[in-house]
Amino acid sequence: MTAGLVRGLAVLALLATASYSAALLTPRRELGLDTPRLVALIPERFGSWAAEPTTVLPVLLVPDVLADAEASQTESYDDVLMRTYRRTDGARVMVALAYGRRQTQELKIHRPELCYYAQGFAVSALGARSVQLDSGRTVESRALLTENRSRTEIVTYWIRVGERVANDAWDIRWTIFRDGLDGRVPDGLLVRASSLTETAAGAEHELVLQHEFLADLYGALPVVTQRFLAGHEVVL
Amino acid sequence: MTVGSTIVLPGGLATARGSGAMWWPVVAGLLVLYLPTYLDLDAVYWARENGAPGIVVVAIWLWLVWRARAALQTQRRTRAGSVAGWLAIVTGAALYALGRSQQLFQLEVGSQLLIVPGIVLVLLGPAATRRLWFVWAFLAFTVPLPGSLIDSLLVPLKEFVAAAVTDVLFFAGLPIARDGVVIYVGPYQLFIADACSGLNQLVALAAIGVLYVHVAAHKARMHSVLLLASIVPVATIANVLRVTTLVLATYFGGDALGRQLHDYVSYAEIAVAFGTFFVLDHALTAWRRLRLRRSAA
Repeated sequence: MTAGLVRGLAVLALLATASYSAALLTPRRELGLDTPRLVALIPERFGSWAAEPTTVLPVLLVPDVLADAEASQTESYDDVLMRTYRRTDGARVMVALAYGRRQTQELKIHRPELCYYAQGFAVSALGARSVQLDSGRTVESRALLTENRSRTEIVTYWIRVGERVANDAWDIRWTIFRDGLDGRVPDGLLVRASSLTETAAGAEHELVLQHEFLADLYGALPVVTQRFLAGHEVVL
Repeated sequence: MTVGSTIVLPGGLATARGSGAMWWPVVAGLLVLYLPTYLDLDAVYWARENGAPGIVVVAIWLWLVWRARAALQTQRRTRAGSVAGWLAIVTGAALYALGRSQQLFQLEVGSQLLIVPGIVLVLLGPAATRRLWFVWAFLAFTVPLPGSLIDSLLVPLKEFVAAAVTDVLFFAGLPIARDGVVIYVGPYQLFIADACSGLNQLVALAAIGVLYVHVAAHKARMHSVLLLASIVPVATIANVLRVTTLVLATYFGGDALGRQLHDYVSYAEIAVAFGTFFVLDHALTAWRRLRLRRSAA
């Protein structure tokens, strides 16, 4: 055997080791539910809220809208729920949930900033807001002001990745990476609440309304579903 | 030097004709690593919208290797080169394992840029590795842009395309308006999808353009620089033309016609972009000749 062939075989051994290590390191334990069925998880009535037929066209949960709007959502997610709720005093909140059973670096929840932008809205950030879900649980959310020629929509959202909430693109990537090294494939859920306002000045009022809606919803859910919505990271 | 002769070098390392047999385990190893990678790339990236660029880049790369086959025959190994080579292979292998297992495609695909030249360093030595720098560098075109980067590139690119198309057609008298990246023309509402940004075609033209400039090896540096600088504007203008055509087709021929034309117009765009690029090259050559003749006269 020539020295060249020995070196060639050594290269092969190294490359085969790399391939085998990659297979060993690949996360296999999936955190996601098999069939979440958002329709069944989120009640149509709770507290003073009741779902009603949607009157305005909700912004889709994907940035790239295909000819068939429905298809472009089901292609990206394992389950999607879009509803409008009306409170007994007449206030309305639109809610949109998008669930992905497996989150990976290149296949994950689309952030609402991009979805609104791609659907013709000008988007400006209103910053990070804590939502008090109940006495023991707050969740970090993002608030957005979105406008197009026919409406102004205020948005609150958060994204749960695995057990924690991560709203920043790098935080999401980091969470997926960390879970992956632990052998876990996290699932992902986008929780988006939004409402229409006449002017941008009404933004704070709408955000308060959305936080009330989210807290009321959270309070009406069993613990399992609460965790499904907001994760169960222990905050000290 | 005659092929097959052996000259003893000071370091005790030999210059020899590379033995063909040593390449078989290497090729097998590369296939084990990267065949799954390319299949995934095909499924995740290339299959979306216009997937052609990826396959074309690989084909071109194989052609570049074949073109360089003479340089792959000479072996002149050095100890430093071997150390660097093994280091590159081991680092690349680690990046590959991390990237492939955690679906970090940029690490997984990018590991080629260490492993492939590393192997050549180990087997043939630094001289051959340096001579073929372009072949290794060209592999960079197979690395997909990360989604987050694409998003931040797409936003201004889509906005620009939407604005340019709307302005042109508005001045041409069409009832057209836009909200960000959504165009309203007559009764139709058109989304500037990611594919319409022309980013894929831009990357494809960049790959072909860089290759062309390298292979043509123009003596005048200015010629090459101008050609490379023309890649972005040429691809952008071709893309604006494409989207304008689609908007016109939808407006005059209806939604169905617009959709029908969608794919054909993409191919036309690539043809227009490449055509313009090559015409530009010829124009530059003609202009240089003209100047030479003038200065001679």
